[in-house]
Amino acid sequence: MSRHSKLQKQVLALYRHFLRAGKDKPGFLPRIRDEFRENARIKKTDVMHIEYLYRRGQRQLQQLQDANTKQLGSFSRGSEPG
Amino acid sequence: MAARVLQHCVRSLARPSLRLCPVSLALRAAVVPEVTVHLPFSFVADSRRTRWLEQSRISSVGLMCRQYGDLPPLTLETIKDRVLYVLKLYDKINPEKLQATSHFMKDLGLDSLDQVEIIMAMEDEFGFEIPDAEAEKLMTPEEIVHYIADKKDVYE
Repeated sequence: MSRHSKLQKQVLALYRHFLRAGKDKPGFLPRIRDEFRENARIKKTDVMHIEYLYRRGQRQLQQLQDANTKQLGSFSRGSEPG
Repeated sequence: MAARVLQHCVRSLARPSLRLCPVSLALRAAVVPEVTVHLPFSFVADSRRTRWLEQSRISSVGLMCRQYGDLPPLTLETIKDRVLYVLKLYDKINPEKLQATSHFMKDLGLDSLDQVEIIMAMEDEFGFEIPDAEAEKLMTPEEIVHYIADKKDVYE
């Protein structure tokens, strides 16, 4: 496990770019971390899935790095009555 | 008395210190009249005496001495302290179990994403970039300290 495969290195580089880009904009970091953590569970052999997520991540990174993106919010299911 | 010492300093360094001690203008104005009046000395000298004396020591070294601003020099000890401090602030690490030789993956149970975050925190702490190829090899705080000392030319 000490050597990462090429794909793993790409994913880690993407993670690094995400963290850098999301540092100044509030609300992105928890989302980034959760997303990557969630997808870390898929098997190493499922290359198609990994590559798909990787390309999706690249597009999302471009969106994040756009100067017009300011912050991220999310809705959560609350327990208060409608 | 302190007043006599100050007067002696002024007389011995009157000319060269003119340029280097802009602060002590008020002090010198107070010193020039005779020393029998102690009152102006007490309230002028107390706050500025040490500063002025320090500057007088500097000017005695030579007119050509320069002063630069920089961070305090790094030593292996300070690098290690800072690295361990940053690691203790990371919420996924148990500070009691942390040692200089604890492996991130084997001992502390972190994974490669956490390791990327840790290396980024180190980059922010020390202010220089660590390339990906070398970053993924740093697996213990000891290795991080050695790497930073290597890059910053810190010897013991």
